[in-house]
Amino acid sequence: MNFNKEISEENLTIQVDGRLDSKTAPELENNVLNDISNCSNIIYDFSDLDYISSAGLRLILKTLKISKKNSGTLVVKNSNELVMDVFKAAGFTKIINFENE
Amino acid sequence: MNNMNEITLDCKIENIYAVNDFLFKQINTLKINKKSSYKLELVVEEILTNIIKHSNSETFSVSSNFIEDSKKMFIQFKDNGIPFNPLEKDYSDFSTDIDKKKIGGLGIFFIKNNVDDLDYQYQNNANILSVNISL
Repeated sequence: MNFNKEISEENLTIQVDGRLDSKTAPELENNVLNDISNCSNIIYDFSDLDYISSAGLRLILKTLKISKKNSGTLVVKNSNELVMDVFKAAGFTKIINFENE
Repeated sequence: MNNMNEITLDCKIENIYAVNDFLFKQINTLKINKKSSYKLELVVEEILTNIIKHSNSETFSVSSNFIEDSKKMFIQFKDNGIPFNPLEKDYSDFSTDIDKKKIGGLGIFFIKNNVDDLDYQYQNNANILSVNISL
């Protein structure tokens, strides 16, 4: 898993490549949680994310709760079909904005 | 039963990748599509994460048998930890109330959602979880 953080004003973009699983999701969380708490608008860019599991979804949900507390927004961008299937199966499409470019 | 392959590893999250390698080696001769690969990895990860986090076992073992004709894989997960039936937890929270939303049981939901069948036994001080999965 590789990630890239970009902060501009109140916006935080987190680009995640590779896998977001039970090993890597906690690693990502350690690296982004502070920034998530300090920014209003969060964007996860999953253009190069190959795989996500419940561990990854847990982090997304945590992010959503924080952004809601901060009255901010959360967008998950460019998930591939298989990753989207996982989000859909868990009902996340009802609570999170997904965008594809 | 055909030759069962088996691997035993320490209960560490990073060992999940080794199990994937072990299982995919058996499917080697047959090309399975991306959706099936993903399904297999997801089921394996969710099962093993539960075992590694909750069983208090030092090691786990995985044995498997792949039938090429039907593209079905039988996988059995064993550990010597505390009796722990993962099937008892349900992900029933499909609610849209974000504040209350909990994610417990999501792993087991993904397992159930992707396997043909699932069986749990506690025998001889071992948790034994068996799945059949179509690839």
